[in-house]
Amino acid sequence: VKEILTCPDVFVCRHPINLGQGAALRTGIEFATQRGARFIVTFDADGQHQAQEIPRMLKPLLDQECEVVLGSRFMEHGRVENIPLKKYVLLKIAVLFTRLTTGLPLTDTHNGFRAMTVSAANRIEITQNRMAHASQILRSIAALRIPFKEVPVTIRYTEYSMRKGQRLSNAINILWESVAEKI
Amino acid sequence: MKPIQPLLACALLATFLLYFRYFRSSLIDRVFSILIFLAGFLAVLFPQLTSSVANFLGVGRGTDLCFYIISAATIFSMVLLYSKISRLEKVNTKLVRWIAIATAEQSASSDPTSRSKE
Repeated sequence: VKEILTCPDVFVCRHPINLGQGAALRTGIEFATQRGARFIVTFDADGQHQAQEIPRMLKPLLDQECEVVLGSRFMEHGRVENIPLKKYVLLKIAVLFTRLTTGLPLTDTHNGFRAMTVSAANRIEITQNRMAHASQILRSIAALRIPFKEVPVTIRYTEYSMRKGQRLSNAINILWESVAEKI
Repeated sequence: MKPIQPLLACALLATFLLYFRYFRSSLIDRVFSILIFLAGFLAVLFPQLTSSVANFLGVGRGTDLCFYIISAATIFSMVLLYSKISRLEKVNTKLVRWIAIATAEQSASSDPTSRSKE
């Protein structure tokens, strides 16, 4: 974080206690909104996303084609490097499951790389503090009929991102949180 | 009187006193809790009473009746606790978010009026 702060025009919001990624996204969105941002880009910090792809993610928004752009590693021209087989299978199952529950014709449902207009970002509900927010965002998009587009991105699984990333067993927790939310 | 009876009565009394010492709440809560504790005392001092009530309700033994009531009460209180915890979690999230935004650190900026991006 100290390194980031040497770059110009960067703000760092820090949760004094860990609340999970969902809560962090909401905080970032709120902060950016207060500062008068027009677009929000969410980005995983474990090195799996490529910063040089941000302009490509923003283009459909600038062209006013849609309000949300979702990164996809599985669509045509999307790339995944070094993905472990277990993770691949799990992600594919997650895609299938999300397609069934939201009806959205997506190719990649658990990708942290997104771009959206501020208005879309503030309409999308993220009350799931931890990792179930990825599915929650998509359910919101489906429920609110927010126009979206998928854009191919490259996901690079490095040793660092694997260490920082999700454990497969967490999928069960995510499923549970998603079900509990409906009660 | 069997030896278990004073033990249970003391445990109940202690819980009762602690409840009133630390969880003073609305009038309805108090009336309810007094009734529940009274029922507990009665059940401890006159175990036959629970059997009569059980028979009246069509349950075989007083012990079974107690078991059913305790099961229902446990499930009810767990649901209550769950909802309370998630409400607390929401409040906590709001608070932490407020702090994070209020204490946001800005890097050395070349242009202080420029927009930020998350």
